Amino acid sequence: MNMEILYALCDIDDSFIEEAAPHKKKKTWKIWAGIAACLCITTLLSALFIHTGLYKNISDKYFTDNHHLDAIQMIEYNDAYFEVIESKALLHKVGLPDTITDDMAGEHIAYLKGQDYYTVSESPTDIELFTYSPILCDAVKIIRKGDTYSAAVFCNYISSDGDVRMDISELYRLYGIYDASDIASISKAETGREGYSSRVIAPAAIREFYDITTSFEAYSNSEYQAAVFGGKSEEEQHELSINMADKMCYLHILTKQGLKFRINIYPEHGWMYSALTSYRMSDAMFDWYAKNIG
Amino acid sequence: MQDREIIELYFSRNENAISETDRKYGRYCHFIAFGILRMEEDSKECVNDTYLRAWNCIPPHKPKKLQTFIGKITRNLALNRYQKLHAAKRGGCEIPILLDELSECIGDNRSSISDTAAFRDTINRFLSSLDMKSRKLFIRRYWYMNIPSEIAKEYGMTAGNVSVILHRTRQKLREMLESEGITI
Repeated sequence: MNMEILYALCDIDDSFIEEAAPHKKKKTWKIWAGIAACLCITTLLSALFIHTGLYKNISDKYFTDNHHLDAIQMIEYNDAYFEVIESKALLHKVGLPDTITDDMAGEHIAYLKGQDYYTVSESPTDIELFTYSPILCDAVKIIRKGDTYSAAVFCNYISSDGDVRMDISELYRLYGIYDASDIASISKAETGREGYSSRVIAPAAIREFYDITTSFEAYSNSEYQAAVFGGKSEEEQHELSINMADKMCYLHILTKQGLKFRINIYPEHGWMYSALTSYRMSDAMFDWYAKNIG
Repeated sequence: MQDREIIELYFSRNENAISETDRKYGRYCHFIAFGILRMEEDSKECVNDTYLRAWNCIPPHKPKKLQTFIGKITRNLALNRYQKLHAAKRGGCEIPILLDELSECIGDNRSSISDTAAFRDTINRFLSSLDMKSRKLFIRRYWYMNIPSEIAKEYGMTAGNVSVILHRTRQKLREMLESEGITI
């Protein structure tokens, strides 16, 4: 049986797919129940508030906060986003201890304001940002909210035009890598699989990797889009992006100080990517990959 | 959450991108996967695979429409999974019937599409030429792979009526493909 026709139909115009998409059914009994409930509550609360003056203590916030149970905690600091990480699994992923304690807070950096999305406050607040004392690097900070300490890890830079271009040496520097000798290992992981498929620990190979990658030219997202998808139809772009995603692997970099970060690599398509910047693989990188990790 | 904000989460490599995608489009993806696979467990796994693939695609890819972007991923993954299940003689679904129906207008289903881009272009023009109702029914049947009784229920029609409209639409498609010399 040839299913090619069904695959070919997949790429029809988005507008037709959207037009025929199922819509949430309106449950009329729920609407009426909602209206009835609102009327009852309004009547009861009105009576209560009028008699007790309780309305003064209830703000709009009370009614809206419950909509944000899974809010993301992000910090905007120094033209970069940092994500507040509290789960042990995520802490482990970036090479941090399971528990963040007050003694890990180094120098005071800034006071923060906001809820879930923090920005720098000019005046003192109960939320404070510190350096991470065990390791001197810019990628990890400590945030104190009252008596609670958490880690905040670099996500990416913010650019006014939305287009970030960061030399790979800058990425390394964020994690405290100033030279090849600061890298402990480079491991390859396949997407969707646990563990590493190969690992490089030989200093000479790490040195070679460092020298090759630091000579890469950085591409911002728009430059990357033009280089990879320019001149292609929407369908071809979709197909290529899926194909690239299928062939993508990760290079996990472990620093000598114990921090971990990863770089996406598309070995069949000749690109590497991290923190919103793409890097075109050179011939030397292809050789290194095939020799050491491919 | 707006699609733009969800895509920003993907771009900042924030894993909440997955939960927000699931919250907004989980049911939609499941609808697509289940339409093809007709098995709850496989459909759920297919939706999870969709999120992984979306996570790997975005960035660097920046979809213009998140819903259809992940919908297309789900559909392709579900078709792949169907093929595996079919090879293992497991699972019942609508695909053999669908292929049979499509063979009426596009010929022998064992042959292959000679020019995918031309085919896609013709299909898009064909769909544009249809009235909205026929187009929706066609997409529901051959893209979402719903069975006629499901389509009928949602559109307030009888299954027989849906089948008749689909039959006429397939005839129109055959005429258009023939007139444009598209060979399959």
